[in-house]
Amino acid sequence: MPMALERELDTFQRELPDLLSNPENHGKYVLIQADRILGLYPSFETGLDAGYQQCELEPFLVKKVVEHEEPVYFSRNAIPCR
Amino acid sequence: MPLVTADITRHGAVIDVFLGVSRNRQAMLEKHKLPVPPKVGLRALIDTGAAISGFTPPVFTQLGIGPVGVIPVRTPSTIPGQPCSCSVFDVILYILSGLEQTPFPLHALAYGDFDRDPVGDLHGILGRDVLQHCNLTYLGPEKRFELGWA
Repeated sequence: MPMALERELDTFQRELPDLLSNPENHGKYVLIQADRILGLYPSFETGLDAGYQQCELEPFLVKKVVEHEEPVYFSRNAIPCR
Repeated sequence: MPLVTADITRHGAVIDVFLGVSRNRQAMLEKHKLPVPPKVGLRALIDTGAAISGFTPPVFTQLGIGPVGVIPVRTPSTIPGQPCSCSVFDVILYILSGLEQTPFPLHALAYGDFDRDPVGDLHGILGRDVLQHCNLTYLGPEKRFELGWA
C-alpha cells in the first residue's frame, strides 16, 4: 500500500505547535489538503463532511489537534502509513 | 431486531458482510458522473479484542478509496509506548440479515496479515466500533453465535 497523505501529515506536524498555542483548538479536528489548513471542526465526522465538500474527490486529511493522541488497540498487525 | 445466527468456525465468529464507499464519497462520484464502485462482499471475524474494525488492503483498492485520517494504533507487535501511525478509511459496512442490509458508517484500518494467509477467505475484523451497536451472544457449547442489532 503506497504511503498516502504524506504531504498532509508533514503539514500537520509543521502546524501542530501553532494550532496548540490556541487552547480553543485543543481537541478539535483539523482539515488539511496538501500544505494548506482548510478549517477546524468539532468532530471527525464534521471534518470529513467539510473535506468532501471542499476537496471533493481529491485527497485530504482529518486529524485531531492534541499533543498526544490516545492510541486505539487493534488485534492484528495494522499497516503503518509511515 | 435484525439477527444473524451462524456456526462458530475454526477462525471463530465469522459473518458475511459488504463494504461500500461512504455516502459523502458516493455523492461526489455521482456529482462528477463517475461510477460508484459496487459493494465488496467479504467474510469478517467478530473480535471483541479490537477497538476498531479493519480490512485487508485489496478491499479498499476495490472501492477505489484512499485514507482520510491517520491515528495511533497499538497492536500485538508494537513496542509499549510506541504505537504505529495507521491510515483510516471512510467506508460503510453492511451487515445482512435475510434480505435486509443495515449500514454502519465506519472509519476502518488496513491490516495485512490475517492468519498470514493473504489469499484466505477472511478479509475483515469487526471490532467494538461495530459491536457497540450490537448484541453478541456466543453459544460455545452449541458452536454457534448470534449477532443482533437495532
